[in-house]
Amino acid sequence: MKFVGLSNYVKLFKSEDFHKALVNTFYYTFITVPIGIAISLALALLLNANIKGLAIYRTIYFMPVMTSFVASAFIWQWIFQSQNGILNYLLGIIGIKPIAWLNEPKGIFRLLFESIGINVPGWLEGPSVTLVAISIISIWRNTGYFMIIFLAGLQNIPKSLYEAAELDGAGPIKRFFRVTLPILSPTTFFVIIMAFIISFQVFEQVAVTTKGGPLNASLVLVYYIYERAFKFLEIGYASSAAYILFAILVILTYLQVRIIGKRVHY
Amino acid sequence: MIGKRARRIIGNAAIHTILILGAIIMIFPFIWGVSTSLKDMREVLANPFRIIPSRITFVNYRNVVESIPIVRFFINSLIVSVTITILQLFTCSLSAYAFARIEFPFREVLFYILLATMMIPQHVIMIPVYIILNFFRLIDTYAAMIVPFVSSAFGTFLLRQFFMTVPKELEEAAVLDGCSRLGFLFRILLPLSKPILSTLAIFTFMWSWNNYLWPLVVTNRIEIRTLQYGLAMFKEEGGINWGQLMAGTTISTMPILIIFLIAQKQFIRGITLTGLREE
Repeated sequence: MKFVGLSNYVKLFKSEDFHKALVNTFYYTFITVPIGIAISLALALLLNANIKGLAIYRTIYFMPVMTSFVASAFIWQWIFQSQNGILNYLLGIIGIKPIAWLNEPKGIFRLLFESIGINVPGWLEGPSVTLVAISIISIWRNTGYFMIIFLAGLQNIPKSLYEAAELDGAGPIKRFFRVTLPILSPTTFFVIIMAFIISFQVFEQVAVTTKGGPLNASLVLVYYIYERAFKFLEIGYASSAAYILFAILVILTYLQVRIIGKRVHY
Repeated sequence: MIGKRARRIIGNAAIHTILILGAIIMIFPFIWGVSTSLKDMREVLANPFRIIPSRITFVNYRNVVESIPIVRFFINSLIVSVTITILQLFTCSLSAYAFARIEFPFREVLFYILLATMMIPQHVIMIPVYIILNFFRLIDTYAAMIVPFVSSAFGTFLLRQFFMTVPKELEEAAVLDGCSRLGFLFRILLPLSKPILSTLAIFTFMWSWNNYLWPLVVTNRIEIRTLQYGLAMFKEEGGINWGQLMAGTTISTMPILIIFLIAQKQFIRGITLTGLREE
């Protein structure tokens, strides 16, 4: 063994694959985190509206969370099949041509605009269709988890606050923005931090469906680290990539604490 | 002007419509997977798609059991998950008790260091852990899948928080009656902590049952592969037979879903108490 200083990091920053993995992981995060949080918060609000059947809905929404990433990825890969998949079949009924969900390196915006005959420049392509499909798997898998946390937060809000706000003439929208959101902010803060950490560690969905392909269209950081370390046995190099991942998480969490943490009430 | 009652009914109907649509999206993949596993090969690829197979057959299940050692994988998953769960309950009880009740130098500092390790993702430390296991010649053994998880910061934290809520007087009384520290922990404190212990047990079991990355990294022999890893390999090596793959997926998912349906309360409580780790 030889001490190599920072040469692994230098090599890393020159690597095109690593760039691709980094960009894809950020894309994946910026798809799954906002959409996932919005859906789970909306579901929690609806479930909190004092309706019948709460327990049944909660059980159903939570079932995907119990399923392993491997099993969910298998089932979704079957749904996403371009030839015999049920999604393309259903889309076919409303006249949409089959899409190679997990085998399409084209950007999602390019695909959308192509269908109406417009060519978009490369920088506007957006994440690959494959990466979007993988994001859908993750959103489906994790929504129930965040929903339960939001629901617990909502149930802690004292009813008297709403009654007071109603007496003061606040309508439902005002009550949501002035009462619910501020009091829920510690929960939201926690969920945002967790969501970022979970999404930067995405691995299984990629490993069992696309292996980062086609053409690196779904290559993400942890899969890159795994492949470098245990397939190509570049242990030192892969460790450097792992530390970059760690540094990104530390920086992001720090920024979130600084920026959002300040807005968290009480 | 619509009456308040009528408005309420319409509002509720709207909420239920959205929730039911959402529930269908959530549950459909499960139904579709099971449905595919019960179809014969021709129907799996047939148009139009039917949710309920025209002829229910268990041939995919028979084929999957005959063509890959799925029973072996199942037993391996069971061995690994049960061992990890039992060991974690034991070690986390001991360390949580120490952090909650025993005065020793640097206790607070050590506890914060422990909490800090919860923030480090498994994926960041997998390479050094692999090197350590390799040094002890443990790669490709059951031990490699178990040893890194015999204790956890999460479990220690969860139990410590609960132990702190048990009144100190209880221990003082037990000590007066001649009870030793370990005697108090095992005969009085742990029986009192059954709900939180079962929460920890369920989470640990679920997490190790569903773990894919670690067995993939540290094992190679077919005989010791776990279900998740075994299924993924089967898919790669055999080309994809969707009926069989869905049968295998159903087999691997059933135990966890059954445990969840039985012990739902513990799950929900565990998550709301701690936010739960997700790795």
